[in-house]
Amino acid sequence: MVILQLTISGISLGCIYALIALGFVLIYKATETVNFAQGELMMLGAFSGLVLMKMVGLPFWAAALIAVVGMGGFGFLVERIAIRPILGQPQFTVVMLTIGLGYVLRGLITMIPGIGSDTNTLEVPYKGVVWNMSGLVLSAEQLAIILITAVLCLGLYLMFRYSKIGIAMQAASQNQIAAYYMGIPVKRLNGLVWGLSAAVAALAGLLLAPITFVHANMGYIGLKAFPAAVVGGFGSLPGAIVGGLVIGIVESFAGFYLPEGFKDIAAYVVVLIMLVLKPTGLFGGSVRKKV
Amino acid sequence: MSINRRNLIVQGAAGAFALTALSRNASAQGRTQGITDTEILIGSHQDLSGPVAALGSPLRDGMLLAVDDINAAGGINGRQLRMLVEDTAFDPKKAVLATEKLVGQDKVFAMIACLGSAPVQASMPLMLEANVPVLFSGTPAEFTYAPFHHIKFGLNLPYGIQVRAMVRHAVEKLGKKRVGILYQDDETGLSVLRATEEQLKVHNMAIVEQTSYKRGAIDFASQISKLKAANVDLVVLGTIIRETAGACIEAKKQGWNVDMMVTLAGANSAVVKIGGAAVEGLYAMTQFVAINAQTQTPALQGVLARYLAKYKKEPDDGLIYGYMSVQLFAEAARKAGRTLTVDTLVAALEQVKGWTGVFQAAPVSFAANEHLGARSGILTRVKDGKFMPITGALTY
Repeated sequence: MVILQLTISGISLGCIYALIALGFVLIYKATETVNFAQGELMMLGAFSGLVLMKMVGLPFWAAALIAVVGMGGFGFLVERIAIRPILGQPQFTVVMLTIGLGYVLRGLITMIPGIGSDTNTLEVPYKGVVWNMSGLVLSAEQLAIILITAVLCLGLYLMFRYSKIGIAMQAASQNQIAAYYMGIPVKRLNGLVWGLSAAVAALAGLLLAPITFVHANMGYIGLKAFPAAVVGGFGSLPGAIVGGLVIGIVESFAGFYLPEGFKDIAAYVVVLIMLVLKPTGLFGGSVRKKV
Repeated sequence: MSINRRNLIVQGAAGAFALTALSRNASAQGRTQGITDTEILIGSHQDLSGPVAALGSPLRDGMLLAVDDINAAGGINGRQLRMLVEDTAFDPKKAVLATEKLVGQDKVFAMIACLGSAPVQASMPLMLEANVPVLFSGTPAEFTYAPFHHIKFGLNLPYGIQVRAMVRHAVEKLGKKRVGILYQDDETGLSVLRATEEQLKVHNMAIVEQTSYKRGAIDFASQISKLKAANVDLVVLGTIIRETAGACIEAKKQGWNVDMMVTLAGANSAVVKIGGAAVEGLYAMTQFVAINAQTQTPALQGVLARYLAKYKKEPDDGLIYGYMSVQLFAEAARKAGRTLTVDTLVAALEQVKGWTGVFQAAPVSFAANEHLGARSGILTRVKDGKFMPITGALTY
């Protein structure tokens, strides 16, 4: 029973890692840059939900919907305003830019009077609902995370498999120049990918909020999602999901069975093992870039 | 500017600094400053704009309010009290500058309730050197009273004492048999762990299960599962605010009704705000009972009403430490009599026994060889969102 319990809490936490890792991978696949502000986008999403509920007074579902869509728009704008102008510069530039973006977002959030520098709770309707089934305790918060992540994955799968825009995104990520010659609007697609990735991050933030509260530093969880993306093979969407789940479950078990302290380093140990055994990650392709 | 010239200037400045330091040292012994026939000037530095400004600004307000109240009641042996407060933004460098100004230029008689470990540690040597008493510094760090210095007095209850007192109470009065601990993997958490171990040893017990987390951790599911599986009947929390609430919420989520105890660090209204119903029943050690849980005496209500009138904002728990510090200083200065000097103040402070001011708080005592005033804490328990006191002052 303990094992099942640990597995469930591992999966639910792993789903959060997976959602953030998904954001990393989406952007990486499309633009070959790593967005180090992914965790901060998640934080911003959670704060948007909080502000909409607390200050505007919207009900949870409406606030969540607006926050996710709004963050999608924000991601699109970030790409348009900050990222696109420096395309063509060395990779390093984009990395520094996104790290800087993360700092700026964290700083701006703490300036919101009343809630910015505080730890806040997001009043979700399913907060504190718990089912106890002969020793196995299931909380609605965990279940919501798992279900919504599953639905989102299915949606993304269908989109990339069947929709025109999804297929265009795949094409662009495989070969931008070829895609461009085939008439695919690569630049606009990149904006859409940033938007999608920010929206996914916002969703992760809203799902995480009931568990960890909403505060300016909640984005540091991105540090755990990064190993998840690496374990999955940085360029693979299913890999990001599986990588997230692996990290979540390993952490959960390490916290219970291993001596104290191991939980905190488990994610990085997994990454090291993975890099030694299979450097391309679980789902990474074997195609190497020709230099 | 050429390198040589710059060097010269730097060396010159350093030399001048050393000279002033020397001369200051020579004349500091037994000297008293900041006292005139009509006035006593005291000083403090606080974080009014930095990371713990939320604590520093009510603390300052509490001190200034106490100064007003003391002066309104006729002052101290015919002298009025005046207080200067400087902002450090929790920056040790600024704390040193603020202290230079207060001690060197304004010539304050004593420095009271300066806030924060690093700022106090950095600026304390300047005060000691100038023979300015360092009173009641606002940090639970040991250096506020140890090693012994005749003009250094501590008032902040150290974590070690809080933990040992609450663990003793849990074992002796609440009959706890299996104690587990969840602690933050840093100096704060480790001090809770060590004190718990030490106190359990006294009762011939040991920690049944211990588990930790890194600062900023978000998930305590496996830690709580581990403690639950070890079947402990008390969880000592070496946590701060967010993690205290997080641990309580996780336990409730796992359907585990276990008693949890936290130090002063978690006895904060923010824990109730974010933890909600899940923190009901949490035990927390405090030095001062929170304002909303205090017995409403007329004296207390007077202070709160004057605070509201003066600052136009709801009284915050932070004011207690400030108000109490100045009150305690005034008490000793009054006892020292009309010939107030550093030596007579120190002698009077060392006579303080079992003092409590207007607030419900653990009593304060000093002695000739004992300059830590707070050696006991009050255990509280969250009821209806308030940290209600359930014991008198506990020691170990």
